[in-house]
Amino acid sequence: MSAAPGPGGLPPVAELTRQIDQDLVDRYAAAADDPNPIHRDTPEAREGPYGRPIAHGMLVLALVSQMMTEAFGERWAATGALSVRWRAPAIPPVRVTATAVPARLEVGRAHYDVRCTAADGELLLDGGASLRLA
Amino acid sequence: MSAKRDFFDLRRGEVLGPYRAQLDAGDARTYLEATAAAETAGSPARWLPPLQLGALLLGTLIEAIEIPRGLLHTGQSFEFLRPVAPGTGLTAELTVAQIAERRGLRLGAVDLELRDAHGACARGRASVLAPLPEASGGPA
Repeated sequence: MSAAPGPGGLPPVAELTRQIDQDLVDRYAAAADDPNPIHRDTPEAREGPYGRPIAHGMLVLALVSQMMTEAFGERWAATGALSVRWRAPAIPPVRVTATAVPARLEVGRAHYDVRCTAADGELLLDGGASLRLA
Repeated sequence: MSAKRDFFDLRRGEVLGPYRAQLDAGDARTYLEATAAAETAGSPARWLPPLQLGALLLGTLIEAIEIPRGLLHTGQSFEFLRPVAPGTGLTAELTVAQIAERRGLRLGAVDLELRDAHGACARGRASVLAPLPEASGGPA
């Protein structure tokens, strides 16, 4: 997917798929030093609206940044921007795919519509990503 | 870090910080492994994963504010202004940009900025909401 150049010849971005299971969520919680109990097997998570732990929104968003890093390398680190809203929780285990669709070229910045979806098609997050091309 | 601020007491314009931080190459490896990225994104020896800077800013927010039960992180923006090398001394500052109360919820937006010795290297805005405490009977 995303093989053809987009509007204005914007470079395509290859999609990225990752499995998010509870072990990964636990490792992210430790790495991010995030104490929120809704991400772990706790009474708060079991008694919450989903009845089980949910993945960190930032863990799902990390797929978008990884995807853009793989496509653009240091240029993403130097000029990248993201703006997203989370639409549904990622409940592990879940296979998540991040995509970036070329949208427009504006004042030297390439804009992409980004989203993360679960394997069943549920939208987890969407928004925009952009970076300076030259 | 000083005592945590209560989310329900935050006021627009309030500035939290600055807080000092540093991420080394080992932190970057741990972050990449914890985001299932290590096998494809490589280990950027020259610069930290950009979203790790965002995670650092959010971690600072979590450290600075007492997170109420039921808080949801609804939206997020980030700008990465230049690559940051592992080991760089960093300073994070948080500014309460918006506070509103609607339909039993408190909505907040917090601007996040990370600086190195040369100035801002990443910034963003976190949008969150939390149910107002039942004991308060609604907006004060």
